[in-house]
Amino acid sequence: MLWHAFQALLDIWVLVAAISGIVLGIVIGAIPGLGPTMAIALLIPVTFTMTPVPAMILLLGVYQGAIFGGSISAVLLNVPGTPSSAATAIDGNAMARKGNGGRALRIALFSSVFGNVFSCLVLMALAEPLARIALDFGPAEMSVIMLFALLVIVLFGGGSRLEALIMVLVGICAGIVGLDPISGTPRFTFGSFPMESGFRLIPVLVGLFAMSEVLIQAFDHHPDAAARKIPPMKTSRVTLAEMWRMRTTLLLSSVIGTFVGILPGIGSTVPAFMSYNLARARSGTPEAFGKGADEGVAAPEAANNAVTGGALVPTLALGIPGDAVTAVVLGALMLQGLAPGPFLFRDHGVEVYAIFEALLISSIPTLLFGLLMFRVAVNVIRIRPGHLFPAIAVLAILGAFSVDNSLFDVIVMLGAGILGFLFRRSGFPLPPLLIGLILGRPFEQSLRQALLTSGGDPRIFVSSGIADGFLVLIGLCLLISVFFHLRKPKEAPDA
Amino acid sequence: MQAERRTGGRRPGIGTLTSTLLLVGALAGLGLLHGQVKVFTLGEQGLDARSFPRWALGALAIAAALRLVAGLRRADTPIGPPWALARAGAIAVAMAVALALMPRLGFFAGALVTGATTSLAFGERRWLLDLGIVVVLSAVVTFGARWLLGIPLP
Repeated sequence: MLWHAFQALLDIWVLVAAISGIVLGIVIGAIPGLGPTMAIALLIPVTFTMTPVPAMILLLGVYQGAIFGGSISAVLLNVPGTPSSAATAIDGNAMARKGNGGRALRIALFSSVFGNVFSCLVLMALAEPLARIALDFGPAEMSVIMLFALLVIVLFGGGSRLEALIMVLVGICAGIVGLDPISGTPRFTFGSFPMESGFRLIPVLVGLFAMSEVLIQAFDHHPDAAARKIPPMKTSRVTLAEMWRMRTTLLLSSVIGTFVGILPGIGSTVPAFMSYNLARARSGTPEAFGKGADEGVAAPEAANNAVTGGALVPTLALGIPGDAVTAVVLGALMLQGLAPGPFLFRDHGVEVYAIFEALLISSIPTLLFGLLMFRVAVNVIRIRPGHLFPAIAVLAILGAFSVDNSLFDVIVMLGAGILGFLFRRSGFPLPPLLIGLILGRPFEQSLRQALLTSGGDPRIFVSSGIADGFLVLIGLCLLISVFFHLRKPKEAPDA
Repeated sequence: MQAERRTGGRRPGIGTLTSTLLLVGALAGLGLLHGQVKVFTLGEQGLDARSFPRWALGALAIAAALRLVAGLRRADTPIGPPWALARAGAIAVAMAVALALMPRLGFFAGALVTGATTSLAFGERRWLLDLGIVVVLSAVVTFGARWLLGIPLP
């Protein structure tokens, strides 16, 4: 299988897709406000004419490139290009202000590649065995697993649990629109034929992440804001010996990124900060953190790249996305005819392993282009918003339309953009909405199928070891969450 | 990264507005449930097409109400200055108008309207350069999508 998959990569278009994706990703990730989620969603129309392997390599290359790209503006401007590079900005920008921005970016790049390779190896080791186990899952087991996934996002996704719960429920309610999954009855279609297909994932994604960003940036725009100054960079190098000295930090950060990334809805920001804090706690000189410590850059960058492979494990094996970006990747996989879930490896094993191998091998062009491009990519930060955001708005219309050649999807995209603007300004997190939208319908379907199978008897949900295990995990998660909530010091009331 | 929460005292703000809209939406959904979801039973018991929507909408209504109450005890982000809302609103309205006209005037015209309004909303006033960029952008996207990607744009 691995050899056949490797042979599938021996195609010039695979190389072109990988390089294009990485270069685009670095450039897009460097621009604050744009991120891998938006970039992948907007590039999906480009992949319609491509075969599955180069298409997915292009999109995953954008993902990898954008994670490193986010560190460019984080280090040089203290403005994280992606949320997960906020932790990198702490020590990275401190190094840049001393003229060591080049060194910080090299450490970020090498750490990113390390994290990516580690998580790809874990992905290759875990995804297929998990998918094989999942073949034995019935509707009762799947519904309990999805309930666990939804709960994890609400309890541990960061921020207010009530707001995360609201967003999950909004996503679930949005997924109800369309045809009932069991009886086929129209629900909330208001007699409209296009509404019977429901709200498609890609137009909602494009609206929530691309269109809402255009509206937020227009709202926050200050015409008189001074152009950002980029600190000068001294010529620098980072030796293998210096990276070797940080091997334990890199390994621990990669473990955190990979295994936290497997949990649905957590994303890459939480593991990045967890790794930063762990590196500081373990360091012999914790006072150096915040002032330009090498490990202060290496730890979060290894972690946020390691999330890539980890988040793909439940996405590919179970069809449950690990974060917002893998939710978009899941949508793209389905458009390419590669339906994630337990049958993916059985029916498309060669394509899937080709994608894994490409993820591993693409570390080489990531290194090459990252080293070549970071001085160039810095200049994209200077693009005027008045030129950049019209392009995003037009591409958002194209991206939404191209999914099914339907203007209805563009209307959905615009509506999602307006709602995304409201939610983001109100401080509600968007990833739980996305996961609720993706999982709501299959969760309902599994739940009702299980009850139909058992004749309405709810004991079917405690009748298998897998379901029992996940129910115990659900109980544990609730207890842990209550414990930490009670231990948290109460906030002082507002004056 | 833009700071999206700014303290605005205990006056109702955007969080209160959003929670209210969610509560009203959830209650409206519950009210419309019977009319919008037909159920044909043959006497079997168990969950039907209305059960899950009822739970989800009910839970959303309760959660939105709790958020409204919780919001009364803390500072809310202000809705924002009218001119800032007008900038964002202009882009949304322009896109809606473009979508309405697209079946008649085509994708290029719709993209042009959207792109030009967005550019203006961001304060670009160099008419020749900025409009020129929007025209080129719209043309590249339209013809690239049509001829390179084979997407049958309006």
